[in-house]
Amino acid sequence: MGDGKRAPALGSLTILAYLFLYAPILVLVAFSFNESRLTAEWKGFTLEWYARLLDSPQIRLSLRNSLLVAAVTTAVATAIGTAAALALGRGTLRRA
Amino acid sequence: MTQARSRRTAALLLLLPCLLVLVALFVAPQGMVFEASLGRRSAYGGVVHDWSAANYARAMQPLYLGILARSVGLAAITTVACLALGLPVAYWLALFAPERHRNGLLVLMILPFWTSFLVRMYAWVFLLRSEGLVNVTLGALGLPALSLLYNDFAVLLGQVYGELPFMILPLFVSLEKLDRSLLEAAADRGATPLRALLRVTLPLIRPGIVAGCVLVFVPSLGAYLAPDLLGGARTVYAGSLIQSQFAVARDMPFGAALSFVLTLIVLALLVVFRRPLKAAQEA
Repeated sequence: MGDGKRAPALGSLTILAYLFLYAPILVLVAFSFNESRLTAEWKGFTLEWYARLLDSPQIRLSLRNSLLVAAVTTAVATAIGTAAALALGRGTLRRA
Repeated sequence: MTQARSRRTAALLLLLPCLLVLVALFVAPQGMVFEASLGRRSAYGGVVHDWSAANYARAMQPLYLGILARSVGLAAITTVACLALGLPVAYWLALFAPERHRNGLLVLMILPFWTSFLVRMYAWVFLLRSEGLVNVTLGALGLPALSLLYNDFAVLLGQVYGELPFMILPLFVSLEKLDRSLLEAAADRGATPLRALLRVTLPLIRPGIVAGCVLVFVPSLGAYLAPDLLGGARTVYAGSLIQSQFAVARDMPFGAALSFVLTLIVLALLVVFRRPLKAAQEA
C-alpha cells in the first residue's frame, strides 16, 4: 500500500491461514524421512523410502504414465483454449 | 470476402476445436448419462433402456433425500467457512501486503493446489488418525487423545482445506480493484472500520464474493475425495453415494439419476440467485 499502514490482526490471521494450507504438506514431507513405518513418532532420519521408490519398476512406470498424460493434456488444452480465447476475446464474432 | 467477414471466419475456425471437445466430451456424455438415468439396471450391471422416471422417484425417498440434504448442508457450511477465513486473508493481501511481495504471496497460496489433492487428503489422515501426529503429540504432552478422523468434522476440514484458494483468489481480484479513496472518504466522515467494511467494501466486492461462493459451493456439492477418505463409512455424502452406485451396486441408471438430481439442485440455485449472479458477471 505504500503508506506504511499495518493491520496486525489481519496479518496474524493471514499467517495462520498460510500455516493451515502448508502444515499438512510440510508434515508429510518431513515424515517421509521417518525411520518408523507405522507410527507418527519420530524414530530417526532415513532415505530408505526414497531408495525404495526409485528401485520400484511399478512406481517408475506409473510416474512415466502420469508425466505423459500431464504433458499431452497441457499441450492440447493450451492449444485449444488459447484458440478459443482468441476467438472470444478479440470480439471478432460480434457484428461490426 | 471483406476483411470483416474473413476475420469472422477465422474466429469461428479458432473456436471450432473447443466446441468439438465440449460436444464430444461433455454434451454427448451428459446426454448419454441422462438417457441412462431413465432406464434400469440389467442383471449383469448394464443398462436396460425402457424409459421411466422410476429412478428419480426412488431418489426422492427419505433415505436418499437425507443424503442429498446433508451434501447441500456440507457445501453451504464449507462456503461460509471459506468466506469467513478467506475474506480477511484476501483483504490483507490486497490492501496491506507490501507491493513487492504481493505476487509472491499469491503464488505461495496457490502452490499447495499444485500438489495432488489425494495426497493432501492423505496428509490430513496422517495428522488426524488415532495414531496420527496430533494424537501422538497430545499423548507426549500427557493429554487425552481426540477422535478427529472419520467424522463430519474431518470432512468439513478437508473440504475447506481444498476449496480455500478458490475463495481467496476471486475475493483478492475484487478487493484489488477497490478504490482506496472511497475507504478514506468513509473514514473522514467518521465511519468505524466495521461500518466501512459493511457499507462500502462488501457491496463493492459483491462480484468477487459471488464468484468465490459459486466456485466453492458447486464442487463441494458433489465432493467425493474428502468425504470418502476423511469421513469413513459412517458419513455418506452424495459423491460417495453416486460412486457406490456405479462401483459397488452396479446400478448405473440410479447413479445417473442421482447425478442429475445434483445438477438440478445447482440449476435451481442458479435460478434463485440469478440477479446477484448477473450483477457479478457484468462487473
